[in-house]
Order: sequence, then structure tokens, then C-alpha cells
Amino acid sequence: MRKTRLLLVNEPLSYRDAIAHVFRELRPNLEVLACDPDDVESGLEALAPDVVICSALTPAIRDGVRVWIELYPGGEPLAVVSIAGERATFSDIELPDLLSVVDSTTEILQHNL
Amino acid sequence: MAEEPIESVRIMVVEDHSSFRQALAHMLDLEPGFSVVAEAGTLAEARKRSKEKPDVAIVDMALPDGEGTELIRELHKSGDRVTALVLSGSLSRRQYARAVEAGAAGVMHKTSSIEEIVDAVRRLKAGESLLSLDEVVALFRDVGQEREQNRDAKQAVESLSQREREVLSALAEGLDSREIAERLNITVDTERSHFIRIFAKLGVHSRLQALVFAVRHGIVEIH
Repeated sequence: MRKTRLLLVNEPLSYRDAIAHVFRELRPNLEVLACDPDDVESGLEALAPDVVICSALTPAIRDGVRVWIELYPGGEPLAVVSIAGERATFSDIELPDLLSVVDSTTEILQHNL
Repeated sequence: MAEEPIESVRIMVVEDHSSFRQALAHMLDLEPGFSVVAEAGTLAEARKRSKEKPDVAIVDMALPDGEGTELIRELHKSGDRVTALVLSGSLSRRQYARAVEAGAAGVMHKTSSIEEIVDAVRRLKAGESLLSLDEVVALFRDVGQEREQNRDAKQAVESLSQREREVLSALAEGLDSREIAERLNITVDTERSHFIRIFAKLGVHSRLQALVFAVRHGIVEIH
């Protein structure tokens, strides 16, 4: 069973850093890559992620990744979560919710095998 | 001889972006010698949670119910010896200066790495300053200049007559000289005289500058 792959390209750096650290620590079963949003294309190519956390949705993320979370776009206190094309907007999102989205993705991947 | 227990740095994190606040608190709590004793997403919550007596408060400037500087000022005045570190996503030099003037011991942008933030907290707990004396002097000079400009602007606003305010309101509606004169039942020459006096009082040189001044200082609103 391969690891679920998570790519973080959200801003600012402190957010990306903190959330990546937490995922690495609490979900050692994940493969986590964090990179600057300017490098999103190479991040997508390098990791072929199952989940992306970003601050600004790009066509490559929207069309190429099964699960994505647009976190605090433009600094607004909201998040958009898309799972297999089904979107939901949250007025704020907590860390356990982010973990839960990734956990759900892992379950889906396991069931699909 | 038994070792003395290392005293933990008690930390409060005040940040309205919940997932970041929780992730930051989690990371800080893992650091040896750190203990996160409180989290808050608003000023109101932070005021309640400050009863946990943190040593260091990491405070976002932009909170839903006010500015982080309000909390910093209160913590500074409380005598509880809380060291405040501002962590902000948008910090102009003036906001930076206001934060330091309110009592912040350091100001960092959210583009800092977690390692830099952790290091800053350690340095603050160790009694180090994140700002040099030169930086503090320069920041306070900026705050002083801003206050002086605000005082001058307030005096300029108060010196305007009712008629001059009406002229500016008409300008804010996009009316030209002839239309302003018609609206106020005056001649175009009189309208121009009003503007000459307005320019002198506000220290500006054009109708555009007068309008910008008027909007900035609340004399008129643009709808």
C-alpha cells in the first residue's frame, strides 16, 4: 500500500511550515512535500499528490488533483475543500478538519486498491 | 545532586486563522522548554486566556474584534511581565512602529519560517531584544511624525467653514465648477474662491489633492 501524497503550496511560509510539520509528525504514513507556490508545477510533477493544500487554486491543481484545499485565499478567513469535484466552503477550518480530509483520502485510496 | 527542573516558557498564541494557530501551538508545544498554555482567536478570548499568565504572547495584528496592539498595550500595562511577539501577514512600517510603541518586544512577518519564529521566542525568553536601539529610535521617530501629521490634518479639517465643506462634498459627488456653483447657488468665481481658500487651509494644490485629503480625513465620503 503506497503512502498518501500531500503537497503543500500555501502561503505564507509560516503557515506552510507549521501545517507541514504537523502532518509529518501526526501522520507518518504520509509523503509530504512543501514548496513555494511559484514552484507548484514542479511540486505536482515531482510528487503526483493525492491532496494539495494551496492558497490560490491553479488550473493544474483544480483539474489534476483529486482532493484540494484552498486555505485562506487572499488572507480571507475561509477555506474551500474539493473532494473529487464536490466543493464545500468553510468560514474557517481547523487543524483536525485538515487532518480529517487527508485521512479520508487515505481511506478512499485504500478502498480503491 | 538532583538537576533543577528547567522552567518552561509559557506561551499564548493569538491568531484568528484557526488551522495555523493550532499548528503553530502544536509545534511550539513540542519544543523542549516550551509550553503552550493558551490559544485565542479573538481579542476577547485572549483577554480571558491571559489569566493563564503566559511569559510570551505571539499576537497577530489583525484580529476579528480589534487590533493586536490593543492586547499588547493591555498586557504591557498589566504588569504581568508578558513579552509580546507580533506575527503579522501585513505590516507597514507604521504598523510596526505602533506595535513596538504598544510594547511589542519583536515583530515578525508571517513569511518567516517556523524555525525563525521558534528562535525568536527562545531569544525573547532569554531576555534578548529582537530590535536594535537604532531600529527602535527610528520607529518611534516615525510614530512621532505620524502623530504630528495627524494633528496638523485635524487642525486643517477644523478650520474649514461649513460652506467649504459643502463645496468639498459636491466635489466628492463628481460635480464640476459650474455644477457646484449651481448646486450651492453661487457664481463660478465664488466657487473658485472657495477652492483657493480650501487649498490654502489643507496645504494642497489641486482639486484632486483636496478630494484625497477630504476622503482620507473623513470630511467627505465617496459612495
